[in-house]
Amino acid sequence: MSITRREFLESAAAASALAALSGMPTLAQAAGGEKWVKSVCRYCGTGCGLYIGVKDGKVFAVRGDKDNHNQGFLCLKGFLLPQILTAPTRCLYPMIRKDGKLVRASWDEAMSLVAARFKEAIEKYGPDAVAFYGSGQGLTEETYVANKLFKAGIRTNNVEGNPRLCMASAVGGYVTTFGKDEPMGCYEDIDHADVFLLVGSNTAEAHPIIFQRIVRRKEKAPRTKVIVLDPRRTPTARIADLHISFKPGTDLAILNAMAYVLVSEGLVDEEFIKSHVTFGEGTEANKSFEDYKAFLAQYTPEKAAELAGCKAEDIVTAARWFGEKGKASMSMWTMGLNQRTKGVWANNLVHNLHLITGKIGLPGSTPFSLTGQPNACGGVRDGGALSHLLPYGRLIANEQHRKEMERLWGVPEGTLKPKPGPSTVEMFQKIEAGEIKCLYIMCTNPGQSLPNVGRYRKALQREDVFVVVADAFHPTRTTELADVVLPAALWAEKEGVYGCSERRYQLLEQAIPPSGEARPDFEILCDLGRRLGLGHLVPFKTPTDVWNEILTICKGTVYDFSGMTRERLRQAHGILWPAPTPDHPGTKRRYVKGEDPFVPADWPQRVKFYGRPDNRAVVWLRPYKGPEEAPDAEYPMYYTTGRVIEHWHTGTMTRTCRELVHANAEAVAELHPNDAAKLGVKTGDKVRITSRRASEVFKVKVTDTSRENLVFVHMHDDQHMCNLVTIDAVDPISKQPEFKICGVKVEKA
Amino acid sequence: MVIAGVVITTQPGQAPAVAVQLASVPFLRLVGGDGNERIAAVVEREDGEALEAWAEELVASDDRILGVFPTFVGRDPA
Repeated sequence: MSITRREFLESAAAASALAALSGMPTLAQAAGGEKWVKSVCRYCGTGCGLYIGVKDGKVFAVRGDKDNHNQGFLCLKGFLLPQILTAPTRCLYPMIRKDGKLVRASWDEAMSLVAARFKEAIEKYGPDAVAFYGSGQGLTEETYVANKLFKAGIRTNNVEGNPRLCMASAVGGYVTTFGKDEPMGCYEDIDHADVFLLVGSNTAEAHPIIFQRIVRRKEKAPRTKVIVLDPRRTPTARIADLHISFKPGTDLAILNAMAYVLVSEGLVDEEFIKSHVTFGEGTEANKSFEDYKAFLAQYTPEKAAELAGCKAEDIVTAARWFGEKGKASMSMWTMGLNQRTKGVWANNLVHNLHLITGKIGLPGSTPFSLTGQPNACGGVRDGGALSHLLPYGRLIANEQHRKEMERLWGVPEGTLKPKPGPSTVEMFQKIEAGEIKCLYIMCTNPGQSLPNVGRYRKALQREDVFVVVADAFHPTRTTELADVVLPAALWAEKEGVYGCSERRYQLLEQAIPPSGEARPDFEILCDLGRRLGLGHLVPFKTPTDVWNEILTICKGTVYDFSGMTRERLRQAHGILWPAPTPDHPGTKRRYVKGEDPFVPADWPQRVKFYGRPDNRAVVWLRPYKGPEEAPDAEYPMYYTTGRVIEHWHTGTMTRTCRELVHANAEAVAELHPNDAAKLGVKTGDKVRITSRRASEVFKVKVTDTSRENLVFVHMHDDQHMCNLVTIDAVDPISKQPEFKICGVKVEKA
Repeated sequence: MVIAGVVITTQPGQAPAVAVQLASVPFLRLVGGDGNERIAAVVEREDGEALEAWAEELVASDDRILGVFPTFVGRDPA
């Protein structure tokens, strides 16, 4: 007997719904005495508010927070969050590698070993022989403790985190254009936008609740236009009024061509440009509007279309829609732009469109980067936990910033090293070279998520490298390489703050005790600090202690959220910074008079780009440059990777959910029918994909949503790792790797 | 096409009446219920967005309905 896929899906759907009837809690049950604890989703950077249902000390359900920005909605992943807490792959006790195998150890044994190896490396080789690699999923307090411990305590700037892999180019874009990081807009802008420009973002699958809000806007205002720029016809493109598919990497030319149309058709806001914009090339803001016009002359829609493999008239249409006078235009982007060797430039070019049209700082008009992790913005980006940063907009390379942080942290002048540490890829190359001897990895999975991952897996396996991994799950493709595995508390098992894409900080309250012997990362790091003789720097007893210190660190910066007391966060459903006083409501739109507390009430214009000394944002003249590794005769196809809706990152959480593990569990290679025909493969067959770095075998899915000569591979599978193939070339400004594009050859396997 | 299993929760005692109403929805198949406040159903929609939009509309349009909880979502490319 055989059944069709449809019949199978119907059966599975019915079975799961029926099964849920018997065990699923209801809101009515909740009213019967169970506890509902306010929290935030553990997955993407949308930061959906939710309540965790607790009964008999166990999490039995979650429900969306109707008073939060997500208005009670959660995506399927969020809805299934309770299952991750009791997954069979939860790491429940410390482990130490003995005779090649990880064996159970006590906390004291494990931490003594970690401290001893770190001390030994520091004494023998200096502080730069050790490093920390953190995560956009760690709580703000945890990341802060690590950053302080390593930079001010151990005195190394070898502090990096996986946000380098996902949003560093967005940071670079905001900083170079506006002088300060982070979006100026908010989710509420979605409800006011007339035009959405989605570039390199499969919002429907990667940020489903934001996508839903876009759909709602389109339903309420049917004339709303959605423009999607993506080589693939993703689920996001299904709601597009205009989908422009292009050769990967050529979007810089398209964005410049859109600017060309805006300028040549008079769709610019001359007054706004005159008051708020300057022009620049390279690193200097030394150009004029006339220079910009001359620069754009090489990017006619026809030329860009020829380069990009799309239609010139579509570029013209996109520009006209975006630039139509009186309409609000909102752009959103994520990894398609950021994970590029010209990622910062691509970000600049999106900002350019807003600046030349004046569509910025108004409801519905804003350039808004979407973030992939729940606390990449709040913890790592704002908290300054990358190798070149210090907390809240301060820079390692800036002497005044170092002095200020030394004073705030109570350490002697000169404690903070003036030279930025290595970026993520450079850090792992230093491990490969034997320069870094000890690595502490927290809440992330670089053994699967780094580009060209085979190379760096070998580095982590060096005999003379000591790898500590603190994670809630084991085994992962990183814990399997560790010398010590520390069981970390997960999500509902600890308390702390997350900061999402729209500058919204939210408190996750602890709902249940940690599983097994797991401990919050905050506690583990403070323990390590004490064992290293640095306990005076991390004397914290609770995450609230850390938060109270953080409030003193952010004060006086443009991030100032010192009005977000712990108690206020406990009551609120998220607050958008800046919020410099306890009675400040938070800031929906930065740089805008009447909204942003740092724009004086008597400022003569509606916006003030105070991030730059001249209060002007920069329109950068960024030429089109292709990817680091375009297809060639030997590796003739484009290779790209990305998310599917059912899974998240390296799958350590979603692959533990019974409803998700069977959906898109195995990474497939999506091929256009014409490519499949050339290769002689059909859906379900296997192909070997080979780059200059490695090769891997994937099952095929033939789909016309893919672009011809492009193979798209899902990124979540720990057994068929897409990152064996990806390239580790980085953007020279942001140091973010070009995960999204490389050249491969594809053969039937 | 997206095929989803969902549990629809209602005010206590309202599930039978709501189920009768849902029975006329062409893209929904009732598969069970507890006879009181929970209904199990299979829903087919064009895509995930349509599924979410439908769920939102359902909750917004009927005070007896407290929530629509997906338990499974699969895609049928056909």
